[in-house]
Amino acid sequence: MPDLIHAHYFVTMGPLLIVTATAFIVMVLEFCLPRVDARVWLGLSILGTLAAVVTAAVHAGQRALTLNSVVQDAFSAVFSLVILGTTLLILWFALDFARREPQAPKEHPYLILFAVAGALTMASAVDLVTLYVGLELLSVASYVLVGVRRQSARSTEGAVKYLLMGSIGSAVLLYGMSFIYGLTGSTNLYDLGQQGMMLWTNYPAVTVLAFLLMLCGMGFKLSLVPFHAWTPDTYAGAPGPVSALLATLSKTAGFALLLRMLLFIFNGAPQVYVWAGVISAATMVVGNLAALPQRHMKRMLAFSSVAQAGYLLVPFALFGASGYQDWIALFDSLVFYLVAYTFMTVGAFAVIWWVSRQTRSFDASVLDGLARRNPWLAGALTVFLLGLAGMPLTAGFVGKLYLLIDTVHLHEVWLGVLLFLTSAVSFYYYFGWIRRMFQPAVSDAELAGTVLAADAGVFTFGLQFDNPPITPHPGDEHWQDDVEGVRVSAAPDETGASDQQVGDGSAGTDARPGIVLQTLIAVCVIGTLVLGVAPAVLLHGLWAVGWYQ
Amino acid sequence: MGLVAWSVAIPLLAGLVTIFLPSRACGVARALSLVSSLLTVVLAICVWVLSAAQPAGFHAQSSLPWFTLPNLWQGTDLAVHLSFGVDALSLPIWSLAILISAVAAWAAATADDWRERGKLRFLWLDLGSAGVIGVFAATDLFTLLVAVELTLVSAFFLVHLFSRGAARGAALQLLIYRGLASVFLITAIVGMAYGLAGGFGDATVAAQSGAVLTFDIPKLLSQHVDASVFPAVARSWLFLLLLLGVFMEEALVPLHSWYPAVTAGAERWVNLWLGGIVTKTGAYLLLRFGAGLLPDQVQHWGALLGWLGVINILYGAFAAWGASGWRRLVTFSSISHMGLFLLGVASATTAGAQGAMFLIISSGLLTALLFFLAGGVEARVGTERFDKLGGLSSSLPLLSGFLLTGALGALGLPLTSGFISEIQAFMGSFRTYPGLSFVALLGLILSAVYLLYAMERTTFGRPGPALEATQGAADLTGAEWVPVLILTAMVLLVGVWPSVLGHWFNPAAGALLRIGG
Repeated sequence: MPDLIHAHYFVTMGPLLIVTATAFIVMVLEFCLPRVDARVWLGLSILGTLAAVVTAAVHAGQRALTLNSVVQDAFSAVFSLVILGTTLLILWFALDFARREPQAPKEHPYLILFAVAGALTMASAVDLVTLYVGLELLSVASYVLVGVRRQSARSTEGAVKYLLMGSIGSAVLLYGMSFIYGLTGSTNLYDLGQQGMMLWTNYPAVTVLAFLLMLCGMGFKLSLVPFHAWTPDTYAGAPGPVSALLATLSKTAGFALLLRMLLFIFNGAPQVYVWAGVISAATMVVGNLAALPQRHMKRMLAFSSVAQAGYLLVPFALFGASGYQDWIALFDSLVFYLVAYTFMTVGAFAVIWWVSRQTRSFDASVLDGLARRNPWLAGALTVFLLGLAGMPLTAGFVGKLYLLIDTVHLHEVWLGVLLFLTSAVSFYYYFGWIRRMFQPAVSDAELAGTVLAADAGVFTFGLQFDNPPITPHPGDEHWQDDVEGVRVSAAPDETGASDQQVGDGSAGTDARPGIVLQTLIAVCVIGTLVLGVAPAVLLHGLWAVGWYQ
Repeated sequence: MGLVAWSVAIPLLAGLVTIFLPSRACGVARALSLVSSLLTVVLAICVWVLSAAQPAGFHAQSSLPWFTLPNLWQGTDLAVHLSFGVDALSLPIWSLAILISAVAAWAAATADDWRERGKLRFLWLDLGSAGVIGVFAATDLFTLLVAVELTLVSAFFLVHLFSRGAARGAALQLLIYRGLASVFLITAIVGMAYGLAGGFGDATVAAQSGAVLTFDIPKLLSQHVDASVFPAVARSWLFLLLLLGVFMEEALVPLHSWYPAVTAGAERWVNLWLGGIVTKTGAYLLLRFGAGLLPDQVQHWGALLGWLGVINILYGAFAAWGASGWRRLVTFSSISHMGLFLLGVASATTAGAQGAMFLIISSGLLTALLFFLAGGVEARVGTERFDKLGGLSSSLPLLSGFLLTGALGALGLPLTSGFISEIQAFMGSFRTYPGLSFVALLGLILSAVYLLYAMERTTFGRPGPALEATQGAADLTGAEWVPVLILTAMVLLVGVWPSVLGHWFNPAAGALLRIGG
């Protein structure tokens, strides 16, 4: 009897199908019922995502291959769960965003879902074409998400930059894939895995070229140095939840794709991975140094996420130096750091969005004295920043220590040392924020003068940063972009007192975030701390994963 | 839980409770801080008495399994513990950490402006005390790293919040220097653990000899591996990496610039805490891991250590001589002492190592005492600069007297802790590096010069231009007697009865230098 309902499709593609179906339903309903609040559609999306999580969890132990191009194995199970968890955080964030910004575009929910569908495909496809389709689905949805606010010049600028650089990245990636296809005549990863040794022995030069092209192509998507130039503008131009999505979800998916693609194709060519080490080192160094002079909070977080991508690339540099058994430790390190990074980054973006919305400025000076105005928010942001800086008792430290131990173990210690060295550089900007939040009231000019005089010569390598504060004034795009309502209601008003049109009257400089944002931040804080204090919860879970079964 | 674990847990708990106090309740925070300091002092006395009969080995140990890192080495898990305990090397230094933290808490609580940012003051002091006590009490590498970073963050906040003027920026300098230091320390120490398990050499030989990857410090100290398992090249690199970390952590020339920048503006109890104990962590880590795990490298790089030591002694001495005020003078005098510490370690003799250990204690006590007294002078006269001071002995006789005692201790007068420490370090170093030690003696002479010169300009001599301000000022107040008396008594106790420390440090020095191990 023919399998009419194709139950086995559901094992491999269950979450993907559910997310896609939800996306279409939300899209059609939103079109038919334009007056309904965007929050309803977000709620529907969250329900769909939850259903997808359940499906993914139920099938996590099973193994199946569908249509020779989509697979359910340990990689896809783990990465799908991470991606769906991230999606929940971001949709939750978007829910609060929609509440506060009624004028925000209603396209958000289903665009996010389409991006997630792309991300899930990237995590579970085993054919270069399917992988590429997933990547493009994620990318196109992200371009639109960044640029959907048509009135905002910065949003459009960010979207155009992202579109151009992303398209170049896709083209470069395709070019690299075409070499592989040309040499082997196949796009299926299992076939390519069989021929890996043949590739390296027969065509070493072309193999290295293909590896580099594919790595650089993904480098654009993952904002690795030197392909990171779009990142700050795009993050700064995008609304809060979308920035968080770009920084976390699209990175997780990108690393999943990179992992699967490189390991299958280049398993017989350990020598090529040294290039991943080079790019990783460049990304850590440049990302952290470029973050030093930033005063715009989102731009700083953007550069910080560039640097973090460099840390995440460290395991890739080690694949060449190790055998299949050692790879397991590398998978564990990568996934652990990805999860830790997701909690810290989503949390940081949420706090930054709230603070900048209250103060209408993205300049870091709005953090001054936040500990007095809102101690819990300041405490949460401190936890995220300590985590990103890699302080003990946060997830960031355990993740970095795990990466360091891998590098020691596999005799690439220089990379681990560089990881921690550049983290120490990052103390400068992360602790700069923390200091701002906790400092007693001092005028900005006095502070800037003393700090620059005292430290610039010592650890900024002689660079003198000329970074005047970004002063909010009417018509300035810096603060308006995330704050849709303000544009209409209070543009000429500098004091920030009258924002009657913003949200539901709860705004004001001392307002506390609503329950939705509070839960989001609390979840992220708990995630960061639990993974830092008791990392065994995740580490042993990961260790129990039979990666090769 | 063992007593030592409580010495970390109590201030940590006090700090955690303080977080949740409203900021108006700084009186509660103050009481918590004082009570927890007192409790830790009692604990230290208990451990001291209970373990005195048997100095060897680790005492009052306790170990809580924290988490395991799966499949780290040869298919085995690595268990990470939250474990504490002290041995003959760490017990006196751990006690010093408790004493200095308690004195700092007292000084912070009795300062005139203690209500100002009262909650944050005690919060970070409690957390920092837990951190710095934990550094000396930790018997697990992960616990140690956590304690190091907790100390770092707390020190950053204390300096940042309780400094004046341009020195506030120095907090970031401290953060970056000591942050980088912890990077090198982490890498070096984790690398040593891997090296002892055969990570850099022949793994099969390592497996046969039973070497395993462990983060447990007593186990690490008792692991003996031969050169095929842990090759000399790897040892050398790890030792140099550790040394680099220690230099930054310890503020040794040429990586010292954060230390004078910080002490130039911080309040006196912050200086007391930083100079008394926080800048002694690097020295302890050098003894524990450098000399303890890689004794052959201490010999191998002995000449380098010795030269660096002499450079520190002389640079510190000359900089202190040229200092324009007490803060800078005390800072560089402490750097000069730590140079002698390096020379003592470099000698790789029992006497030298014991002298180095004595120097940690002695320099900690004297630096704390001098910072506190100099801060007292500054609070009364309004300046600590020598060109404005002078003739204080007539108006502030007690303060001047104790300042003189501290200065005499720092220049190594017999019957003070400075004397016994320096004489032992020199006895060791003259055996190994007579030429270098002879040059280093110049540092002793210089220390007499700069300290007496400073005393002359402060207390004796012509009444300075700032003297009018002191006419109405009271001499040592009731609250100030406590730190001054305790620290002075300790300085004299160690000087008069050195075996109170030698009882511990003698076996510790013998155990450290299992040369060739």
